[in-house]
Amino acid sequence: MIDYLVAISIIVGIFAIFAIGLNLEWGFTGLINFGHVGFLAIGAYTTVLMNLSGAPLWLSMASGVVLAGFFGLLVGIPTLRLRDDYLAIVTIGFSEIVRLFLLNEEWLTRGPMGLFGFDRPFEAIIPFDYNYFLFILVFGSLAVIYLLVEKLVHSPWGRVLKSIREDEDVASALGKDVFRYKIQALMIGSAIAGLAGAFLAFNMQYISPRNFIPMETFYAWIIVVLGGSAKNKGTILGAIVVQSFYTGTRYLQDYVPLASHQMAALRVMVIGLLLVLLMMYKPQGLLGRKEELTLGQ
Amino acid sequence: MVHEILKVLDAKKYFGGVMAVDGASFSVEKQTIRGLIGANGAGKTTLFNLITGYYKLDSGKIFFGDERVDQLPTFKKALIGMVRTFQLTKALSRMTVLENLLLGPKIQSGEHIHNIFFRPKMVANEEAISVEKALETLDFFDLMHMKDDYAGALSGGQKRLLEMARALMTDPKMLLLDEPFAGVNPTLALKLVKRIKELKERGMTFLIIEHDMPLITEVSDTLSFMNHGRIILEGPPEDVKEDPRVLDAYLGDGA
Ligand SMILES: Nc1ncnc2c1ncn2[C@@H]1O[C@H](COP(=O)(O)OP(=O)(O)OP(=O)(O)O)[C@@H](O)[C@H]1O
Ligand SMILES: [Mg+2]
Repeated sequence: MIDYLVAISIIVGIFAIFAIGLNLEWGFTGLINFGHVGFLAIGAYTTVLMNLSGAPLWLSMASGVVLAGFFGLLVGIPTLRLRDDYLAIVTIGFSEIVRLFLLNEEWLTRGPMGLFGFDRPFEAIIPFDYNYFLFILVFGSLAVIYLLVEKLVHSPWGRVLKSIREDEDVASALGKDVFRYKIQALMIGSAIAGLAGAFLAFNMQYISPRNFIPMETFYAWIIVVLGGSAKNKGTILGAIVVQSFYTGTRYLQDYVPLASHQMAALRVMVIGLLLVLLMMYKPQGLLGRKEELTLGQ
Repeated sequence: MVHEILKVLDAKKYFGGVMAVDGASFSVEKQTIRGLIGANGAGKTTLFNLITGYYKLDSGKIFFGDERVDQLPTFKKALIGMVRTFQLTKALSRMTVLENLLLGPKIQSGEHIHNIFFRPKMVANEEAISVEKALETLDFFDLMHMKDDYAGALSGGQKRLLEMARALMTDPKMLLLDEPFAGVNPTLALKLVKRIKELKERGMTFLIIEHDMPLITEVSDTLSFMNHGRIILEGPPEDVKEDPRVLDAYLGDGA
């Protein structure tokens, strides 16, 4: 039972990290990134590929994080000067390009067969169940990311992000270089997704392009909206709710007379229903502030 | 040249077939208050948008001090001291009134990520100074009691005051106000007029769009009248407001 809880918690922690990155972009800056999973994939594949080709694990992870952030820059430069919706379109396209690249460039990624056999941090020297260690590692990282992001959003820098979310014309009227802040938010959010990608790989010990379908992006969105946008604590709570539900129902499989694809569809329907109920009864999200919704523009 | 802070030369802006600004030229001397009047749709707000860089000129030139600025992005103009407010007020709704004001100061080391982590003292000190200044400003604008409320919860008139307070926090050289008195109660409007004159004495320059004739004649040193996208008349407020073309635009049927 404990082992099972630890296994679920690791997934929760990874998704919380992933979603905190999105919360910085959407919740605080108002950027619509529909391709967050692309950065998760870049983090995961970079870490794994570099390690498999002999690089030390810490360097592989760091490269995954940096490269994910760098791709945030690449995607941001042509789009962030344009209207908001361009970013949404370009990011969703970008994440699919990443996935198709991973699927088709078999010389590099082994395509649909996926990658395995890579190192995990300190695996050789952990004397107890590795999952316990991974649990500590993931939650330690989550705590660090949470504190860093909180520090950032409560600084003058974070204040500018919020002003951009509210009305970027005001930010420029007051002398803020809106483009610079948007790029920074997207880069940091993407780098955080990259870190989540590395942990995802460690947890599964096997990655394939199938792990990085667009649906993963929308789980992150559900987590952020459910928890209450611009509330990092809410994001963590959202990750707990969504992932326990998601994982929990997988185990219900044994007790419900449904085929697995029917069960998967049912699960998405129930999540959708939960979201509808949430929007009806607590539209600001679990930890959001109700007053925010009644504000006139 | 030296005492002109803003110079607009033959500015043009078309929207499809609409000639919103159709060859407007004028200049504003340093440390003066210029009123800009004209019927609805005369092109006043569009002119503001051109001056501050929200719209690109179709043709013409704009100088700020000695520098040609019509290619500069809006935020750079704000950094060299040209700051505007909006006719349709833009309160940053889901930020508090105080936070709105704290955005104003131009040089904030806390807006750079590395300083947040490596120079926290410096960031905190600057923030304390900004907060003090913001509180003084809020006090003047009768917004102190709202400082921790969401800006979105302010009334229409209060949002207008917030716009001006926030703009003043940037320490501008020149302030462009788009209908700053609309919806503000008469007593406070007179107080604002007095403050604007004080700020002028301290070296600031103003360009103010306003429909309220008594207020704009009271506050302005010079009045410019805009009609169909051009500045067609300029002079002492008392003269301009008696001009038949102005009377026609304001009292006539506008044809
Ligand atoms: N973004 C835009 N797109 C199309 N037309 C515009 C745009 N902005 C302004 N116009 C047109 O340009 C003309 C001038 O508008 P502007 O807002 O500058 O007038 P104004 O003098 O500020 O009027 P008011 O006193 O009512 O505020 C109007 O005919 C308006 O419809
Ligand atoms: Mg106007």
